[in-house]
Amino acid sequence: MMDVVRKNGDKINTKQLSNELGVEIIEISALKGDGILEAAELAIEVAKKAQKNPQHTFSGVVEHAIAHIEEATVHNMPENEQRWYAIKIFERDEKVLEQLNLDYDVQAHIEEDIKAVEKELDDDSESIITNERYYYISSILKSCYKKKNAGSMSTSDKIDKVVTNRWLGLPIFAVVMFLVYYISMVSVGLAATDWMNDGVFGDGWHLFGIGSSQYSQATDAYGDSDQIIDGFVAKYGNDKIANAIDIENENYAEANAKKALEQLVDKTPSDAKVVYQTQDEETLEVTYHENTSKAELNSAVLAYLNTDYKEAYGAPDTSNYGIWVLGIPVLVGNGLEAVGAANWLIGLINDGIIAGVGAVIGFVPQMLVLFLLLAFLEACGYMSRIAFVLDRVFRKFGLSGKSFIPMLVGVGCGVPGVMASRTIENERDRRMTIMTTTFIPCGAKVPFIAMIAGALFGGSALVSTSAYFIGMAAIIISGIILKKTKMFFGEPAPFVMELPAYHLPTAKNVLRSMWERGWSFIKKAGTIVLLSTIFIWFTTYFGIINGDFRMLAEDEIDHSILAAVGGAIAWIFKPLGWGTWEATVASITGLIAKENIVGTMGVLYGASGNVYATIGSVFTSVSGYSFLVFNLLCAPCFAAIGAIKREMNNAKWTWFAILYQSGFAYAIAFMINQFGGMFTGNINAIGLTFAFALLAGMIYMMVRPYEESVKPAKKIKQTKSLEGAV
Amino acid sequence: MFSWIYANLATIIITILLIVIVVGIIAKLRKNKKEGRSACGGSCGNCSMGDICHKP
Repeated sequence: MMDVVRKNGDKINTKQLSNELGVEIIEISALKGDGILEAAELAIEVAKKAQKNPQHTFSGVVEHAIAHIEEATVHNMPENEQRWYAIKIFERDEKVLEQLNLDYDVQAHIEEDIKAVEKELDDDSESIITNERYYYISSILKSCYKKKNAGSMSTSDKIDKVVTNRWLGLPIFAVVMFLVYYISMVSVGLAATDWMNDGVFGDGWHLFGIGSSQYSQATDAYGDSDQIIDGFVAKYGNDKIANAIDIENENYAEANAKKALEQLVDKTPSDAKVVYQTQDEETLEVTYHENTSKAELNSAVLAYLNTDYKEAYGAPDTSNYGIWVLGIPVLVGNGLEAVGAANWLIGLINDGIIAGVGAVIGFVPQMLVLFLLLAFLEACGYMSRIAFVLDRVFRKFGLSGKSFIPMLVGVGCGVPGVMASRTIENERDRRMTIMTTTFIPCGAKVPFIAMIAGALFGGSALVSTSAYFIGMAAIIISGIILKKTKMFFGEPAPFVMELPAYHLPTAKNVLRSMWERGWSFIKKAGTIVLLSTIFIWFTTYFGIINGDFRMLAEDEIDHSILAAVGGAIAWIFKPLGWGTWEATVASITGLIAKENIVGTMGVLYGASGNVYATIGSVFTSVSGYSFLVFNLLCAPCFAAIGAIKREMNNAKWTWFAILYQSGFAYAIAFMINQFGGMFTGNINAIGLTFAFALLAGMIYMMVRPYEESVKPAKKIKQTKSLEGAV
Repeated sequence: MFSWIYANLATIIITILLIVIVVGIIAKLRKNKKEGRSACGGSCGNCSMGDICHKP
């Protein structure tokens, strides 16, 4: 990084450095490619010569202990390896101790030496070695490195002083994550997703929005006229009048409609009072309007017949305002009907494939905005600061900041997240990180979070932010509980990480990352999700009724194959507040790919034409949140389970991880439903008792002290010959 | 028989097309699995610094 050194105006006296270290020094810049070839050539040249490098000497007490260790343990090894092994034994390096398989007596003897040094220098052996090395480095740098602005802070340092501050670090992180989700889920993303869901995968949309405002003015002016007329037809009219004014009727004629309305007005007594009903498109909530008078009927009839602000009788038609582009389901439906395709095939394509895949694709705009913002945070250097900030928090709970890196990668996808745990040397910490990494919501879970937030919480960004923090809380709670068990007991690994200076990332890098993640999401919707929706549609719309296996009508799908399968295990989820076969099936299909939850819900709750409204009527906010949390924390998709299996390299540990995740998810979702019921007045005494018992058990597991007795007995085996290991 | 086929020609053609798509997707997924590619697209491309680490 000599380019950075020169840019900062700093000076490194390489000649002096060369003398101090006893090796030749070449200035390089990896970014600009300067000096790399020369360094490689010199390395080859030096390797050919036999030379003795100068040796760094530790302080007296440490050297004394190292000499003891060398004599007691590694004196029979090649001379040039003895010192390295002795230092590693002094540091109590697990891998080296495992490799050397020292006798118990020898270990006990050298342990006395190490403890004596630790007592004298008041630090642990690993930190003593690290500190002494830093002192050595500082002593060399003093004579050969001149900083231009020594003592003054760079802009990056100034930002870090605030961003990584002991008290401000976490709140700033919470605010940043809230803003990320607010921008992607609520402000910019929501408008685009609404257009995708209601326009492209709905009835249609006005091109460039032209005509939208005129249409909404016209519908405002028309008001509830249709519903008012329907209310009076039901009380004072007849089927003939109803058919004559139905603009979707095949034999509809405006002259007949006008006559029929005149008849209705004539038949209605002047003191008539009628009840009519309206339904909210978003929530499907039905409202009854009582004491509607004849005067209101007259106004409704005038609105129906008015052609000043609309082109024909009846309610305003969207296609008459601006340029109306038909949505994909309408276009495909019209096309299939025109070629005479069978009804089951139209159903499969429109209600199965398009509804399911469309429900997933509809979230692409939100996903792209989210991926863009996350890529920016990663590339500008902020995310590595978060690893540093969280190290402080994680360390208190027995985890290292190293566990944050897999979590960070896992935000995109759980598979590389689990694979990123390889950087953790300590096996117990690595296993625990593998088990908990998928608690963080990956990209595939984002549409599901957005769907629940949109259908049940008015699209609040707090739901998405809470999903992220619930994932982190799950990791921390699991960390505390598991660390107190025999399987995971031990000190967290030290965390060393280079914090790059803050910089503006290149647009190419950020856009490329956004596109890579977005494209893999789209590809998945076109493959796995598409196959799943076909399966879901067939098993939802076919079933056995009165001994006959046949296609089912909308009101018969409770007899479907899927309802039978889902219904058989739905009872398991009853205590969580959503023990319906539809929600159960959605959760199971989520194991294939988490995007499938949205696709499946799109098919199963899409019959009314408004998935969000149906979800809103089936779930309460408490049961919906319990459903969300269960699916966020339970076993990940099969691809991630495969990655867990590869990284654990052990079937028992893989099963333990899956069962732990699912059990933990069940317990948290159960508590959310039971405690949530206390606030909504939906109390179940038995459930609540179990929830309190579960909470008490969890708190006990978290606060109980670490017991030395749970320290695992070390069984060390010789795994490698010493000759082959350096 | 022919009259039935003629009456349902559109349904038959579209169904065959769907079957071809489904078989194609399954074949692609199997091929990806054999080549060890992750179904989730979890690769270095998912990292914003990916092209810096893997510069040719």
